[in-house]
Amino acid sequence: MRGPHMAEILSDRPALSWVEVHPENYLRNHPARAALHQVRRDVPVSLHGVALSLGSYDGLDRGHLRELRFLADEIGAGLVSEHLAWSRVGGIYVNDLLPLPYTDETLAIVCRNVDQAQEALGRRILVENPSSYLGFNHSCIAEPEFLAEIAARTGCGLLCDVNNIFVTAENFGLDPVGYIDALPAAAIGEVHLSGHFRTSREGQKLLIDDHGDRVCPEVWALFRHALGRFGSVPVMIEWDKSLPPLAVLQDEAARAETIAGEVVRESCFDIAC
Amino acid sequence: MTSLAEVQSAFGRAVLGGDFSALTPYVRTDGISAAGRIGVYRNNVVTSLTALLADRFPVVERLVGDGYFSFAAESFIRAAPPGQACLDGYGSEFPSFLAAFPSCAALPYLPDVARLEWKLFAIARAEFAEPLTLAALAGLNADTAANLRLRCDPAIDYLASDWPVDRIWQAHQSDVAEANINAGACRVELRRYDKKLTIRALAPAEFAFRSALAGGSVLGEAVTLAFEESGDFDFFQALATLFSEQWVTGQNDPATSQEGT
Repeated sequence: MRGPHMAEILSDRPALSWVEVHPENYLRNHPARAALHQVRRDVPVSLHGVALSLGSYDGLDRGHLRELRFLADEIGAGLVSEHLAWSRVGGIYVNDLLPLPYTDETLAIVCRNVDQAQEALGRRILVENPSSYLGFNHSCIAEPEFLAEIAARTGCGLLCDVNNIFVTAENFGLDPVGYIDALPAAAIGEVHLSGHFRTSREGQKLLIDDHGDRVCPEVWALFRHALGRFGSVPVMIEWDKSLPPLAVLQDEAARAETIAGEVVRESCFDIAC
Repeated sequence: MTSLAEVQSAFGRAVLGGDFSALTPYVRTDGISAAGRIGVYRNNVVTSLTALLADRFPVVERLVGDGYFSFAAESFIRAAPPGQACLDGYGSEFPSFLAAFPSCAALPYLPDVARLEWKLFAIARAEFAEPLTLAALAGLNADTAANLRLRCDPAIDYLASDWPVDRIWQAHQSDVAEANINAGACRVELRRYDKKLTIRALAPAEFAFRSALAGGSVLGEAVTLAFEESGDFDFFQALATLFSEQWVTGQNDPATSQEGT
């Protein structure tokens, strides 16, 4: 739920199963926080962080964790999630989700940070696969295996962003179906869907995850495959750039629900056979 | 063995300072060069922070134009990158940065317009506080009244400028009006009423009285400052008005505090 939709949700009270917000927008903005409480009376709220910096060598910001815990407790957050990324170095916050080299050292640091976050927040968190535009020469672990290992070591859940898998796979020539199949199905606690922006650099195509469009056909197909593996999990439509009317998001959510229903029926049929 | 600390430090310099040299050797370049790949992140960081500043300083952006605003914002981001995960405080130093930015010298009122915009942004997000009525001062001891502190509604702030920044700001709320920048100094009270932001010009004595109290001065100091502005300052009227305007949200009567200890 983005700010411009909030007033509409409060006045028209559309039938929404749940909403998700970036907690950073509600930590110190008191009127926005009061409005979030109003939304929470009708609809469950989950928190999807962008600034915890789970991949920082420097560790996590305890003050930020305290503010996050306070908000999560106050609104009774259904789920709390963050990204496999980093944004904090030397006391500076870079306003982006920066990529990590996938090495044993990084794995140990991310697990230490996830442990600290789960301890400070008093709950299990979900860690989301990022969209990537850059890889490191010294990376030696594939991203889905890296995520699986974080879940196994820390007990955290995973948030599978199907659009991010598609974007990363297209940008690095990976097989998105193989990526989904390498994720530990039991750890998946939520699925994200969104649109992206197709561009190019130096004559080579590059997909940018701008959350500024409808979900593309390839991602819908991957979503169907993912649900076949993960079973029934909460699904969220994300939209940030060029925000359309709420009805467009509801339309995308309805499509996701239809596919989820079909997948359930197909799997019942499989069992019956 | 490459350490994550080295990579992150190099990445920070690349995306904030534009110096890609330390990060480049770590980047896998299949198809797109290291600079092309790092550039995607640098562009995301700079454009998102510039958009955030433009959102907080829309009148400054209109006064200088998009292109120049982006240039000033990028210089600011490089000089003073965000220091906190929550970006609500980011931009508080932008007005003083503009004041020291050489190429802004042609618009001497620009830093104060920026100060006005920052204060409006901050009060819009301030917490809600219940107002006190005049009855709260019923037990006030005349001997200690001068040492009384009144807590101001957090959604109120003050700004004094040598320029008519209130008129400049108002003129840019619509496309039609042009402000006369030679209209002189202004002293204004900024306030959030419900969800609306208001700007009100105050007489010098009243401004001195209210801004001193809001800044934490005791009643005696605030009254002295007000009388320095005008010998006609009506203290009792000014105090009663604070309560009728729901300005006061707390008080610290030194006499009462002492009784409590």
